[in-house]
Amino acid sequence: MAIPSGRPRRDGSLMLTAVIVGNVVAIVTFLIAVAITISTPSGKNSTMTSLTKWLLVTAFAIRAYVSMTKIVEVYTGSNFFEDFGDYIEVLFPVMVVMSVSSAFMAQKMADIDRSQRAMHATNEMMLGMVDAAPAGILVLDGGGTVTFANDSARHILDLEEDPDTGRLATPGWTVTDPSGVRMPDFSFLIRDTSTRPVKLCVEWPDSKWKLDLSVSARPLQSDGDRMAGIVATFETPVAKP
Amino acid sequence: MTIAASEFARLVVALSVIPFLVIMSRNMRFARGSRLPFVILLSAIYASYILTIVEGFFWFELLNALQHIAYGVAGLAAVPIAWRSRQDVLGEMGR
Repeated sequence: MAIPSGRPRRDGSLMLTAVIVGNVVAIVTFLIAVAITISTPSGKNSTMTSLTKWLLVTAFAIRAYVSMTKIVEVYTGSNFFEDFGDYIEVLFPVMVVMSVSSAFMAQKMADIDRSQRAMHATNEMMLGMVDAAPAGILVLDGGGTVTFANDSARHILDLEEDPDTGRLATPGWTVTDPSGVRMPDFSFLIRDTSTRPVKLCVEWPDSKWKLDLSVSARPLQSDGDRMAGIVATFETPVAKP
Repeated sequence: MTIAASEFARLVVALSVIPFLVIMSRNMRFARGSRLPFVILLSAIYASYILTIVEGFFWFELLNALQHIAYGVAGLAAVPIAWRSRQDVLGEMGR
């Protein structure tokens, strides 16, 4: 029997035992690892993707094969399998790196997916809270156009959504301050970013309806100090004839 | 004292991928209880590669035996890696 190595051989029963035991343990355990990995379910949204799984299987199989070549060499004395096994074994660290890389990317994608779902759930909750609020809530852009209105605001201000464009159409109000000075529309709130409530009177065309509102506004900041818009809230008004 | 080309090539490739392994392993979540076996697996494999070359210079019998024992140690570390990864995946899937 020969001791597998690229070196000049020496016969030693203890060394031979270590070679056989070490490689038999390696063959059995790596084949068990192959079987366990093959039986592991993989999926697109799992950290064990198909690629990771089969790279690991290949790596473990390579190790088992190399140990088998060592055992074969012990009993046949042939160097062929050892040299071939050494070159095949070059693939082992490459397979390990690729499987780790694949698992790493899968984890990052799963983390991103979880963050997006959590953000979506939070958005849904916030939107639900805003829609359910009894006070009217409006969001205006930098040009004073209404970009969002909750259910209360739509009801109070009679806002209708254009089915084609999704934009909210205002019914042509006349907005005045308590002394009667006319404001062009709600866009003056863009200029006045004070946090104290502002009293306004909103009159519909043909004096069909007139509302006294107490409006509080907060600016929406974009990058830097530029104001991207404004959030305005108002209480349920008392209507005047 | 000659170094077999295959053994040298194997060691060079193995050493060249170490930076990638270290960087990715540090930022990766391992299945519970599988990080240490992973370190043991790689350490045993790398030890066997080095021992294969060093045994040609001195202590042939001892280092050769250690090389092959390292294969067995690597295999013993591979089983918990595979098993705990499987348990982790089954836990993810809610099974």
